[in-house]
This record gives sequence, structure tokens and C-alpha cells, in this order.
Amino acid sequence: MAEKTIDQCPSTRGKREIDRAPRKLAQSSGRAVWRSMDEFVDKPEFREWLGREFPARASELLEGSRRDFLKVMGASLALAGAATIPGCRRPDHTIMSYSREVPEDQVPGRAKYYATAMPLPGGGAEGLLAETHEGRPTKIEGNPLHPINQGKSSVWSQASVLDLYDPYRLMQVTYDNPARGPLQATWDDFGVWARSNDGFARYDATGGRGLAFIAGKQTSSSRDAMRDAVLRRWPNAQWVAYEPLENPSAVEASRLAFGQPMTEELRLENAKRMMLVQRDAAYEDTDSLRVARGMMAHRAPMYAKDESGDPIDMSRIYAVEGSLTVSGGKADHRMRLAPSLQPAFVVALAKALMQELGGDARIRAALDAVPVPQGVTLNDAWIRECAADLAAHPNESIVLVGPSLPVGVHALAHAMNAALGAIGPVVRYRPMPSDLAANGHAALVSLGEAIDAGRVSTVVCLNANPVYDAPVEANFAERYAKVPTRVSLSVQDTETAAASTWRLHGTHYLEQWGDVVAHDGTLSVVQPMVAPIYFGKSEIELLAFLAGETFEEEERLTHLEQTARKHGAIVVDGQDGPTRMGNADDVFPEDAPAEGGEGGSELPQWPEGHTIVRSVWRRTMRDRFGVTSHGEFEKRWRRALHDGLVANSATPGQTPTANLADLADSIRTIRPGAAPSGEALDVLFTPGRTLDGRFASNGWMQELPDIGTMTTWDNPAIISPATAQKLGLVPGDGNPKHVYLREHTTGKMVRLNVGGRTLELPVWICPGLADDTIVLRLGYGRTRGGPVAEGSGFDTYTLREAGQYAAMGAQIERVPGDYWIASTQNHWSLEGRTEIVRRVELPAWQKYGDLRINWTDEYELATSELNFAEQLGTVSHAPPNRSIYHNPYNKGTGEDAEGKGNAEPGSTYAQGPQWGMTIDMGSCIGCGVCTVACQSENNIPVVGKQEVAKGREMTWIRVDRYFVGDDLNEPEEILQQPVACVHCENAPCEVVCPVNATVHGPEGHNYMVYNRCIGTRYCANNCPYKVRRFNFFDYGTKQLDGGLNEETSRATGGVFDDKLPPNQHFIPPRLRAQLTEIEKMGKNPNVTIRSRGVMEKCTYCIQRTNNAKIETKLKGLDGVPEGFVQTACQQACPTDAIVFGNILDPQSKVSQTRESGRSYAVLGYLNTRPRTTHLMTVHNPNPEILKAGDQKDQDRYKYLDWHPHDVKWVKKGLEPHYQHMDEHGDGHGDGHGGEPHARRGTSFIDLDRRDDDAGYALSLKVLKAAAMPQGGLL
Amino acid sequence: MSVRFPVWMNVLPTVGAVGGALSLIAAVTIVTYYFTPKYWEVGYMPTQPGSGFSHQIHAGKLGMDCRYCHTHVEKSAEANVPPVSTCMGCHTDGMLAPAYDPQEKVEFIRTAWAEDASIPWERIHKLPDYVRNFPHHIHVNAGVSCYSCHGQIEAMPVVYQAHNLSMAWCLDCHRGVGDALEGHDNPADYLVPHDKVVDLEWVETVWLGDMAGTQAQTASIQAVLESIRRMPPENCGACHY
Repeated sequence: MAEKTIDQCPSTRGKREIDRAPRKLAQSSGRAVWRSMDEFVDKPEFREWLGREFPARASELLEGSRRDFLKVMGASLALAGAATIPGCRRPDHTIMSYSREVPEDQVPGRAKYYATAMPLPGGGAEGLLAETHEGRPTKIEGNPLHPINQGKSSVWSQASVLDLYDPYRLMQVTYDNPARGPLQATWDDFGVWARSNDGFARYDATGGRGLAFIAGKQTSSSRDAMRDAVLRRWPNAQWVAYEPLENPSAVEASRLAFGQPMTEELRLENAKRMMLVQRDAAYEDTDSLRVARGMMAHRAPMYAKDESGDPIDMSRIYAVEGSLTVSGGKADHRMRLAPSLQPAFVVALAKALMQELGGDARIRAALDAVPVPQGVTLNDAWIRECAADLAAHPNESIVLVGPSLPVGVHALAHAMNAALGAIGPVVRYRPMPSDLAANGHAALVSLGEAIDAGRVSTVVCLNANPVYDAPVEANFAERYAKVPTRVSLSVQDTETAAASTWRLHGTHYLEQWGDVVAHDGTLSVVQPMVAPIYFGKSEIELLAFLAGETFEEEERLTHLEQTARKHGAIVVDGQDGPTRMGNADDVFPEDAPAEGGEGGSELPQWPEGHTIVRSVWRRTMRDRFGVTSHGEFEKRWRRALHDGLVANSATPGQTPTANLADLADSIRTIRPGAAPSGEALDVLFTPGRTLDGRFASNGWMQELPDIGTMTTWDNPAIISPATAQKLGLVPGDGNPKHVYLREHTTGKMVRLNVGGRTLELPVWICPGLADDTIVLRLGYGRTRGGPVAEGSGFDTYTLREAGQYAAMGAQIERVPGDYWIASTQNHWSLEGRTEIVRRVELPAWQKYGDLRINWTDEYELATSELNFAEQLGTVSHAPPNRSIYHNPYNKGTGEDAEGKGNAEPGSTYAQGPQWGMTIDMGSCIGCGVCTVACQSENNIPVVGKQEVAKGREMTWIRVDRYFVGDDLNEPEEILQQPVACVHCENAPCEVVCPVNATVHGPEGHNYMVYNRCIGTRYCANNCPYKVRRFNFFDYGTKQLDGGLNEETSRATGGVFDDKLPPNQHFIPPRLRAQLTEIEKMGKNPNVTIRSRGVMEKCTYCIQRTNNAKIETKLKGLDGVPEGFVQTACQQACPTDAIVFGNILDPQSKVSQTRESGRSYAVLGYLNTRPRTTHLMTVHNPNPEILKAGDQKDQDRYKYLDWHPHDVKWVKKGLEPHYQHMDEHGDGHGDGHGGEPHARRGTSFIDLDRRDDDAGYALSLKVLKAAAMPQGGLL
Repeated sequence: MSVRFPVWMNVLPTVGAVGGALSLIAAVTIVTYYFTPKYWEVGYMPTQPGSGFSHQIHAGKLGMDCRYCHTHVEKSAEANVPPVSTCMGCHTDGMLAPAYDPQEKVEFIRTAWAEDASIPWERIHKLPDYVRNFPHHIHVNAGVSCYSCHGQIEAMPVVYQAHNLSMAWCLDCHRGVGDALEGHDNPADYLVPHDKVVDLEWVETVWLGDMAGTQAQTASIQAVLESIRRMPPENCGACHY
């Protein structure tokens, strides 16, 4: 279809044709860096597309025709009369006062923070603090006291708050009457039914024969207790603990190694060498926060020397993987390897390792017994050197293998870790609770068989969704329908709920009482932030009710305690609990519970979660901590509520001895596979951004770009460029070098055949994957769960067998049709400007990291000091800060070339606080939690797939993922760079705003004043960092997929309802459905909801800094002390990659990190003087592997410890002017005369763009004469 | 030759010019007068639920402290509206003499209390959404009298908006205090001593009456200025984010 567009973007009109030759990135200054294949190939069409102020089609008004547009506008006019016209006066507002009781300590207008914990699927927990505003939780933070979180949080916990306000949650009990269809019901209806002989009472006679429970795997002592209570009542009932992402091979291997299933606790902060085989420990483990923290602990050196003056050391990560994972992206050496070759690799590694270490004879014999597959060639030198490196670090290295590998390989990893001495220093173990150790997939399959045999009459699903995510053998959707009575308790509207006879609505963890044991054994409390919004019941309440548990004693004690507190009385410990002058009810008769409930009422009584948890805890406290008295229990309980956990309750990690004989037997079962081919492909199943599908209805997670591919709202099959070419799946003419963007946003549809099961889905090409391997994301393609979940992506569970993470022998077949995919990888491009990302290798860092050189500008004769990272760039060309525009705050000359604040004393910039930020690319793992945290804190709307595809996504901080190297198929490195507004002191956006809507503040903020903004978007056009986001529509106040609002629909008799434009956002805002009241509750009241036509961007969380200033001032402090205020992204970042603070305070972490030799200003040579600086990555490659590698590696080896300026520039006239350097530096000079094309690759320069920017810099030099301050340097 | 344009049409340019000028003047006048917060906002006096709450009686005649009801004004950005229980502290049946507790006037409070319902007070002072959270606490602690923004509230039987709450009006005070900090302006024009912030009687009699004040008052204003230390913000980011 011919596409007619109305281009509204003024910047594209009359723009000069960009018909220059491609930039030849690879030949500029060493290695190339690129974010996508399009950028790599760099066709003129792509450059033209990129060169616009908003990339993609953001500024095109319509995808339909002009006629459609007129129709819509006509309809809008017709409807104008129908819609309510607001009066001239402002609308009246009411203030609803509290009535009888004001909640405890409630101060309207002040946020309160309560500790709670989020149970993670598959066991473990995150300890959290929930920010609540007048009883509404709005933001999740990590609990600083919690050993797992230590104040940090994961994408899952950050996003979880949105699920609470999901307007498509289940809101009521529904009973699917066989005769009359679905009926609305109440909890009391369910209760009466459940207690009757139709319900659960009939099982008392048989001890629960025919009754089955399917529950998610959790580590909660309350749920365990209620499970036991249910099983006590019905001993023959079947309890299936099931998670779609459980890891049976790891469980089995730990059983072999240690005699019982064990969970592992990784202490990677003690590891110098890590080998990850298809294991994304920093992202997918249940204690991923702690793992990521440990993994990155020795990856970001601030100085070249340590305290004792020795060269600083770093840890080294090896990764072998078929997909592109978060952890693998941080590796110093990353080998692409298909899953079927990975066992052979691990065996080869083990053999090499055993050769180095000696090793146990049984293991060696078992290794020799493993058959060697024919025709498989691995990089032997790589493996040898890697093994030698691991062996050279006994007690400090570890081998980790992922869930896709078979039990034998896990056993082998245990054997290697035992040989390396890792057990103890680097990894410890804890006995695994029985629910976690159970094989849920196998149990689900056998339950399915029992259903077929007619042996199951009732199935209760507790927050499990097996109809959607069960393995294919279980054939669960079909079998579930055969069960006569199906009860489902879930928070979301799930597929299982839809297929159930009783659809019960559960409670979100933020509205329920509970407890959970964290990965390290820490006992954590789940306490509600808000009463159940829809009056749901939690799992433990339902289980306790079904089991018929009553908690009379606990209720009595709780009542007594509360009554006494209410009256300010003191509770005295007695022999059997608290007493106060006898019975409390005698003392306070008006508070006595109403008598006569028994017998008088027919309705069953529901136990409360609070009582259940307290009663379980009373037992736990007695048994584990020896707390017997009531007073002591109360004290501990209240302390636990305050802290969110029981202090020091973590169970110590054990260091068991591995049973090498059993491991050897298991190792013998390894059957390494042959390499995959185009006819028999490997398939990897990995969790997507929706985890296992439970975040599919969460807009934040759907819109968070996927790891590696940067796709949103979809889960295409991901393949490598070479495989795509081989199979003819490249968009366009089939040559990946001819890909360019307009075609690339689509993927070709294929039919995937895995073990006879087929699924049609599109393919997406991503560099860095193993060849002949298809990576599938789980958790998409839901058919229930609201408009966000439904129809997003494809249900890959339909291909997956029990416990399967890797499948072999898949076929792929092209089917007609293309599928458009919204990927953000080309959005917000910095247009190949130079030296955006910088990296260096450890030997060079050790040698030059602390070297500073003085550089004198040839025109200005101004001298400035350059640190190591700055020496890697052309920043030296930037003229001193002489803006022609008067900057009211910086009265200083500001000679510092990279924009570090050196304002003149007495100027406003010299008075504190001056805010600044550093972002450490070295420790950033690219998990994306900063994006979600920012979205949550700053009310950033979700825009939907169609809008993302046009480059209209609104996230203020993005994580750019760069590939390094000149091989499309095999990038040498992957670099992560979070970018948000850098708050330039010489902000290019400010000078072009015609209405002063973006101006500078005295504390270094670049303000965005929404009410002044008229939406010219000049600022976004002039922003070289591409961090400004424009509200093309009313994303913030209207529903994502809302259609016309009810009022309009009613007023027009519904005639327009089916004549809506394809994009909902084109419905005039006034007529579109508003956010529901429930959705509004989740917004942060301290941040404006932006309306249509307004520009926005990162504010450095100014609401937090302003609040901190007020609070400190009220407390009589002079300034804002370090640590008093954190930005949302900083607070969430698990590896502390983001640091924010006062740059004038020499003690602050931000000023110290800015002083590091790794700190540089992105695009600093444009003289923007950004307040956010980035810290470059230091890589720690193994020199021996480079030496033994191919030509590329050997080149790299040769220049490992060279100073970058040793290499002469290629083109004359582009040589950096380091004319004064020779007087300072040591160690440079020897390298002069090295070959010009040396593969330096420390920073990435685009020569053409450099010419452009040289002109820009020159213009500043020319103009500066007008603005020369009096007594200038000349 | 026929006359295409009659002679009387010669006056049209004059009439047009004069009329145009007059309409322009009228338009400018109308816009400057009517299209302003001063016209639209000042005097906004919605009908309150029930029989309303008389600040004149409570704050004026009885001399109750503002903070008796607006309890968190010194601690929170919001000066809270009291819960019904605060009203019932005095207006419980039989607590006050009937003369001071007329049934028909306090009926709505007692009904709300009995039903545990809240009273939907009409909001009077409201800043636009893009002005985040006017922080009461920092202003009260800086010595800004209640009177400065809310007017002579102790004399209002029904509360109305006394000032326009426009940005220019905010900035007048911020700039004035800034000038006072630099010594160019009289701080007593803007600020009151810390202990007089909620003392509306003092404001009425002394501050408004005899601005010169005594030596002691000047000293206490100086103390206020010293406690402020930093200039009141005049930048956009102080309020708009």
C-alpha cells in the first residue's frame, strides 16, 4: 500500500541531501561501534532517516490518508457539542477530610515509607520500601536493611507497583454456572459453597482423593504452614508446586553433588575469574541483585593504582552463550556457541582444567568416557588459555552453567568448582525447601494423566497459570477443561482463571499480609500498603479457609494487644501470654468483640492474613529464636514490621563436600551434540521482559527494550545475521549488507517446527548470537490479561516441553507475510558523532590511568588538564567556554575543556549545591531498571507499540547498547551506555526555545517548564544527546487503548464507535477515555502529569532535590548532605553505576568519580559542558587468548598497553593537537610510527562527522570575540 | 460617468480608523482587566457544605490558633483540613452550651461523625497542576504570615480567595525578600517574626497598623532574615517540575 504521509517536521524541509558516501566507521580510528545493522551498513537512506529531529516517523501526523484525517476532524467537530464544554471558571474541587480516625502518623502531603517484601516466583524475595502517599503505594525502592537488596531493586520489583493499579485485574468472584453461564458472586457465596458437600466438604471422607492444588513455588513459612494444614485435612490431596521457569537440572545436580537439593549463594565479589556458560546470573537468578553487585564489584577501577601503589586488578568474565544475555554482555571474552555444542565445550574446558589442576581421577576417567562428537571443532587455544587462567586463580574462580544444560554438565560444573576450590569462598549452599526442589513440570504432566484417567475432580490453582504456561506434554488447557470443578485464585485475569468454574480474585503483594524467606534465608515480612482494592483474598487466607483453620487464640491476643494500645495501657507478660487486670474485655468492655456470631450467622468466617502470619510467626519465633513471652514476641514483631525483616535471620551458607563419585557417574551421561545446521537448528527458551508471562499485562515491562534486540511489545524469534542470510530471512533483497531501516522494522514471518510442534512468528536479526540458533522469549502471546497483554507477541510455550530450555533439531520455514516490530535500537541516535562510547584495556589503564596532561589550545593559548579518558577524544579541540549568550550563572571563564565545573569564585555556580551525575559504563549491566524506576517516579506514560515504532517512546533515560567491531555477525564487545539529559551548562536547547520554556537554574539544572512550552520542538532538534521527549498526544492522562470515552459514546448513540482511526491516539483528547480512578492512584503526586504538546526530559529528579532542600533547611542544616537525596535511577541501580550529588562537595561520591581518569563528557568537544559525565569501560582481556587468536586478536594484543595517542591519525589535518604533550607524558613516543590502521578502538570516531563538528567548534571560536570577558586571557 | 461611491463614504476611513483605534483600546482594556487571575480568582467564595465553617467565629472571636485545626502546616507541604474528629472535640452533643452549639448549624458535623463519612469541603486556594505542591512548611518557618497569602481570614465568615495567587504575585514577595537580604528593602514589608506567623490579631493591629514597629520588632525580623540565609528561589525549577 502506498503510504501517504503528512510531514510536519520543519527540519526535514529543504534539508540538504545526505548523499555522502557511507562513513566507513570501521576505517576511521580503529574499531567501529554501532547499535544496529543499519548503522553498521550505513546507507544514505538510513542517514536521511536518522538525520531528523525525531527519528523514525515521530513527526509524521498520520499513517492513513489525508481524507481519513479530515474525517476524524469532522467527527471531532460534530462531537464537540456532545462533549461537555468546561465552564470558564476552574472546576470546583473538594477536599475530603478524614473522618473519625486519621491513620496513624499520617501527615497529608508527606510520603511515608513502609518496609515490605516481594515474593519472587521460584523462591526468594526482594526486601523493599514502598513509598505511599495517603495510603497509596506509588513507588518501590529497595530496602537498605535487606541483605539481598541493600537499597537496590530489580526491574521486576520496580514494575510490580503498576500491576496493583492494572484496570483489567480480576475484581470480583465469578462462578461459571454450567447451566446459566458466568455469574457474579461474592466471597461469601464461595465460602458457603466451599463448606458444602458440593465444594470441599465431600473430600473429608476420602482424605482428599481427587483434589489437587497447583501453586507457584514460593519460600514463605506462612504458606508452607497453610499448605501443611490443607494436607493435614486432606492427606491424599495432591500438591503441585510449579513454576514455568524452574530449573530441574540444577536441582538434580546439586542432589547428586551434596546428597540433597541445595540452592546456591554466589559470592562473586570474591571471584577473580568467572566462566558463565549460558547462565545469566546477574539478571535471571532469584538473587540477581546480589549476584550483579558481586559480579561488578571489581570491574570499575577508579584509579590506575590501588592504595598500596600496585597496579589495580580487575576480575575477568568469560561467557559462552548462544543468546545475548545481560551477564554475557559484560564478558571480557565472549564466545558465541550454539546450545548443542555447549556440553562439548564444558567437557573440553573441564579436561583442560583437570590437566592444569590434576583433579580427581574419577572425574578424569568420567571425562574421558564422554564420547567426543564427530566434526565439532572448538577453539582449543581459547579453551586452553581460559582453563589455565581459571586454574591460576584457585579459590577465586568459578564455573557457572545455565538451566539449558543437562544434569551431567551441571554435575561437571560442580566437579570443576570443587577442583577450583570455589565451594566456600565463591559459592555456598543451603538446603532447598521441598517445594522448590520438586519437579513441577513432571508433576503437572502426571496430574494431566490423572485427569485423563478421571481420578481428579477438583483442581485449585493458586497464582499459577498452567493453562498458559504448562509444558506441551501436559496438554493442560485441554485436560483442565475436563476437571469438573476448577478453582483459580489469581490477581490478573489469566488464561487459567478464564477456564475455571470459580474465578477468585487474589491480592497483589502490596495489599496482603504474608512473609517470605529471601534467597539467603532472611525472614522478610510482606505487609500491606493498602487494603485490598477489590476486596480480594490472599493465598494463605484461601488455604487457611479451605483447611478450616481458626486462629482464635491469635485473634484474642491480637485483640488484647490492640485494645491495650488504644487505651494506652501497658501489657504485662503473664505465664500464658499477656494479662492486664484479668480479662482485657472486662477492662474495656466497649471494645469487646461482638458476641453471638456463632450460630447466629450462616456465613463462614474468613481468617485474616494478619492473624495467620502472626500465628505462624509466634511458632517460628518460639522454635527458632526461643521467644516464648508475648511481650518479647510483640517487640520482635513490631521490629520486623519496621525493618521489613528479622535481623540476622539469614541462615549460614554451607560448604558441603561434593560427592565426586556420584558426579562422575552423572558426567558419564553427557552426550555432546553435533553442531546445529540450517536444517536442524538449536532453540533456546529464555525469559523475556515479561519474565514468564506474569508481567505481560505490565505496560512498563512491555515497553522496556528487550535485552540485546531492543524490541518492545513483541518476542520475535531471534537469529544471527549469518543464519538469517543463509536461510533467506533478511528483509529486503536478502543481503544483510543491504538492510536499511524501513525494511528492517519488519521481520519476515516464519513457521518454526520444534519437535513436530509449529508456531508462526517473525524473525529478528541480532548480532552476537550463535549461528544456527534461534532464541525464543517466553511470556508473550497471552490471550487474557487485558489489552496490554493480549496480542503482544507469540506464545512460545506452545513449543516447549517439560523443563526445557534448549531444543535441538528445529526447522524453520518461510511463510508469506511480514510483521512489523517496534525496536528502539535506532532511536535517539547520536548520529555517529565521535567518541560517544570509550573503552580501554586494563594494561593501558594500569599504565596511563592516572596520567594527566596539560593541553594548550592553539587559538586560545588557554591550558587545560586532560585526564586519561579525555585524552582518548577530540575534546581538546573545544574552545574555552565563551558562549555568545550571557549565562547568568557562570560568571567564570570556565576554561575546563570537558566541562567540569570550575566556575569563578563568587559566581552562582560556585555556590552549593551544584548537582551533577556520573554514569559508569564499566559497571552498568544494561538491565534497564533505571528506565523503569524513572518511569515510576516521574509518571512517564506508556505509549504503545505503534507509537514506539515511530520513535515516540517517552522514557527519559535509555540504555544504548553498542556493538564493537567490524564483523556484523560477531561483535567483539558489547557496551552499555545509559543516557539521560546531561544538563549541559551551555545547553544548546535553551538558546533555541522561543518562549524560554527551557532555562537554566542556579544549581546546574536544565529546567523544563511545562506550562511555558508551546511545542515547537526546536529544543529537541538542537539537542545533540537526543534526550528530549515530546508528548505528541495525551499519553499521560488518557488510557492506552481506551477508545471514545463513555460520555461521548452515549451522546452520539455509538455511531462513531466503529469509525475510529486505526491509532487510538488520533481520537481528539477530549473525547478519549480518561485514565480510570484506579490508574490515577498510582501516579506520583509530586510530579506534573504532562499534557499533549509539551516537551519533557530528565529533571535530575528535581522534586526530590527540592524536597531535600526544604527538609534540610527545616532541620537547620546549611546544605543538603551527601546521601540525603538520590535520583530514582541511582537508587534502583543494582551495581551503583549511577551516582548523583553535589559536585562542589569534595567528599561527595559524584565529585570523586568525576575526578577519575575514566570520566569524560560525551560530546564534550561540542562545548556543551554537561553535568552528567560518563565513566568509560575498562576491559580485562586475557592476553594469552589474544596472543593465540586470529589477526584481530593479535593486533589487539600488540597494542594492549599503548597510549592511544601513540597512533598517528590517518588523515592529515585531523591529527589531534597534542603539541605540548611530549613534555609531560611518559611512555608515549615509542609508539610513533606504528601502523596507521592500528586496531586501537579505544574511542570511536566518525571522520565525516568530525568535519561537521569542526565547523561548529570553529563558529564558536569566531563568535567568541563578541563575548570575550573583560580582562580575557588574550 | 456614474458615481460609484457616494460622497458620504468619504467619512468611512475616518470612522474606520477611529473605530478601529477604539476597539483596540477596548480589547486591550478588556484583556488586561478581565483575562487575569485578579479578575477570575480573587473573591472566589464557593458555598461550603452544611452551614460551613466560620473562621470569623473560630479564629477571630474565639482566637483559636490556626494550627489547632491545620495541624501539619509547619511540617508538611499541605496545610491539612482537619478530620471530623477535630470538630467533634468541641461539638460533641452536650459539650458546649447550646448557645454556642446550635443544633441546626452543627448537624452536618454530627451526621458525618455518626456515619464515619468525610465532609467534602470546597477547595478555595488552588494552584495549577504544573505548580507542584506549594510547600506551606518552608514558608511558615520562614516567617510568612498566614495573612500574606490568605488575607484577613479571621474576619471571614465564609472564606474567599483574597489574593490572585498569580506567579507575578509570588515573585513580588520572593524578590522583595531577596532585596531585603541584600539590604535594599525593608524585610518587615514581607515577613513577620517567627512567633507572630499565626498571630492574626497582631498582624491586624501592629503589622498592618503601625508598620514602623518598635526596635524590638526590627530585631526579631532581622533574626528571621538571618534564619532564611539563602535567597528565596526565583528560578522556574523551584515550583515547576
